[in-house]
Amino acid sequence: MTSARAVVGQRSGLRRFGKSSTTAPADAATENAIDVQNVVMRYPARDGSEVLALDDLSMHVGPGEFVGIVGPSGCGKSTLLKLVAGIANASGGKLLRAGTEITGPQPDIGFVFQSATLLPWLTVIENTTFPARVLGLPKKPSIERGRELLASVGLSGFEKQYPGELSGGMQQRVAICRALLHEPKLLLMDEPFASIDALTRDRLATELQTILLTHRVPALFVTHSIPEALFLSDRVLVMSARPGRLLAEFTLTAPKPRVLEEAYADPDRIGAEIRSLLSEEHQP
Amino acid sequence: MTVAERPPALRSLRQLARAARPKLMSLGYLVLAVVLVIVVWELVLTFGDFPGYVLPGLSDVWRALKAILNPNSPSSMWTNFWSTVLATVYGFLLAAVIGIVLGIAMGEFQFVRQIAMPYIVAMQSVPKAALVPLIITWAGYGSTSKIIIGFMLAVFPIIVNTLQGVSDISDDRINLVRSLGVGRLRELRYVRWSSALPNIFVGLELAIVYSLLGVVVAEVLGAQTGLGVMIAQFETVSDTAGIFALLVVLAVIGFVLNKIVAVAHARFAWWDRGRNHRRGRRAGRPSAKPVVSPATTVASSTTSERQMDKHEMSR
Repeated sequence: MTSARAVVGQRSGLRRFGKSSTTAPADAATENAIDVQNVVMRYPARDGSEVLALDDLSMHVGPGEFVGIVGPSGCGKSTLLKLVAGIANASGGKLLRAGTEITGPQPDIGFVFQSATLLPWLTVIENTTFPARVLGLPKKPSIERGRELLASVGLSGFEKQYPGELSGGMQQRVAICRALLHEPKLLLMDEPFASIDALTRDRLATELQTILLTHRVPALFVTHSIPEALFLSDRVLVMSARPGRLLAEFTLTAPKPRVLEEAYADPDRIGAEIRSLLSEEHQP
Repeated sequence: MTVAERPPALRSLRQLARAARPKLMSLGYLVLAVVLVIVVWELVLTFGDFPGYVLPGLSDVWRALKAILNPNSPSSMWTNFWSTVLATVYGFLLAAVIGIVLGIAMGEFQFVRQIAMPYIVAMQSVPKAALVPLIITWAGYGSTSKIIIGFMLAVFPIIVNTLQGVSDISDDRINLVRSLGVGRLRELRYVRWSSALPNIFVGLELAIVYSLLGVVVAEVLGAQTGLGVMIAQFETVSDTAGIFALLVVLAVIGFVLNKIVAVAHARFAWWDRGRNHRRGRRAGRPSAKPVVSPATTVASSTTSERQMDKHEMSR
C-alpha cells in the first residue's frame, strides 16, 4: 500500500464506516462532508420547455459515510452525482464540499457509471490506470496499484485482455478498480450494477462492500435496488419523483460487514417503508 | 469465477478455419461476378453485332491491356500510371491532414463549425467536374490541378466522418475524463481522438477512392500526364478497347489503394466504436457507419449542435 500512496502523494484521514463522524480527525471531518443547499437544477427539454430535475434539494453527507440514494427513475439522482462531481453546474443553490463551494471537477473523486465505460482500445490494466495516465501520475506505482486492485476483485491474469473480451460483470469490476486507482477521497456511483444480471449483481454488491471496507472510501451510491441500498449504506436517502426532493432518510446501524440475505430479509422493515414511500410517489 | 464469466477462449484452429470461410466465400463471389460479366459481354457481342469502336471484343481488350502493361510497347502506360497514382496519393494525404484537423476543430469549437459548415456543404453540392476548368486556369495543366481536384473530392468524407467521430461520443466517456478535472486538450487526446479513430478511417477509406476519381476527372478534362489523359487520347482515335483496358487498370488501382487504407484501419482502429465489442483483437474490420451525402451532413450537424448545447449546459 505504500506504493499506492505514492500515486496521489498524501492521503489523509482514513475513516471508519458507520457513525464515526464524531471520532474522525477534524481535518477529515471537514474534508469530505458534502452539503447540498437548496439546489435547483433545470435543463432545456427537447421541445424547448424546461425540465426541473431537482427542486430545492438539501442534504448533508457526513465524512466517511456510505450514503445510498434511492428514488424513482428520472428523479435527478444522476444529476445530483454530476453536481457533486463538479461536471455539471446547478441552476440554483449551493453545493459545498469540505465547506467550500464546488465549482468544478475534483480529481480526488472516483466516478463509477451505469455502464462500465471502459475504453475498448485499452487493455484491462490500461483502463484501470487510465486516471493516472490522464492526470500524469507516475506510471510504475499506478500499474502496481492497478494490479493490486484487479487482484482484489479476482481479475488477476486479465490485465492484458481487452474489455470486449470480458463479461459485463467483469467490466464493471474493472470500472470500480479504475475509480479507486487514484485513491479518491470520495466515490460516486451511479447505478453501477444496473445493467448486470441479478446473480452477478448480488456478488458484485458483496465484493463492493469488501473493497470499500478495505480501502475505506466514503461513497454516494445511487441505486434502484432497495436491498442493495440497505446492504451497503450507512444512511439511505429517499428522493421523490421529478423534480427531485428529499423525501426521507434512514440511518442503518447494522454492523459491517453485512450479509446480503439480511438486507433482503429486511428485519427492521426499513425497506418496506421506503418501498411504500416510493409507491406513494408514483401515484399522481 | 463462474463459467459464464470466463472470457472467450483463445482462437483454436477450428475457429481460424471458421474465420477463413467468409473470406473464401467472398473470393468465390468475386470470381462469379467476373465470370458473369464475361458471359454477358460475350452474349451481347454474339447477338448484338456491334462495331468494335462501340463494344470491342474481350480479346481486343485483353490485347490492349497487354500493350499498356508492357513497359517496352509504344502505348505503355507506366509514366501515366505513376503520375495518376502519385497525384491520387498526394491529394489524399493533403485531404487527410486538412480534413482531420478541420473535422476536429469543428467538433471542438462551435464557431468553427458554424463558419465552415455552409461552405463545406456548398462545396459538396457543386459538381467538381465543373470546377476543373477554373482550377486549370489557376494552377495550369501540371500535377497541381489534379491534386487539387483529388483533394477537393477526398476532403469532404474525411471532415464529416471526423466531425461525427469526435462529437458523437457517449456522455459517460466524456464524464469519465471530465470528472478527473482535466482540460479539453487531454479530453481530446485521451478519449475523443481514439473514439473518433474508427470513424476517421471510414472517411479515409472513402477518401482515397474519391481522390482517384477527382484526379482522373481532372486528367480527362485537361492535363499533361495520367491515365485520364490516355483515356482522352484513346477516345480521339476511337480505341475503345484501350479505354476499357485503362478502366480495368483504374479499377485495380482504386481497389488496391482502398485495401491499403482498409488494412491500416483494421490495424490501427480495430475496436468497435461506442459498443464494448465482444470480438477479439484483429477480428476484422470495425463497423463504424460512413457518412457521405450532404443530406446526412446537415443532419449530423444538427445532432452535434444539440450535443454542443448539452456541453454548455454541463459546463
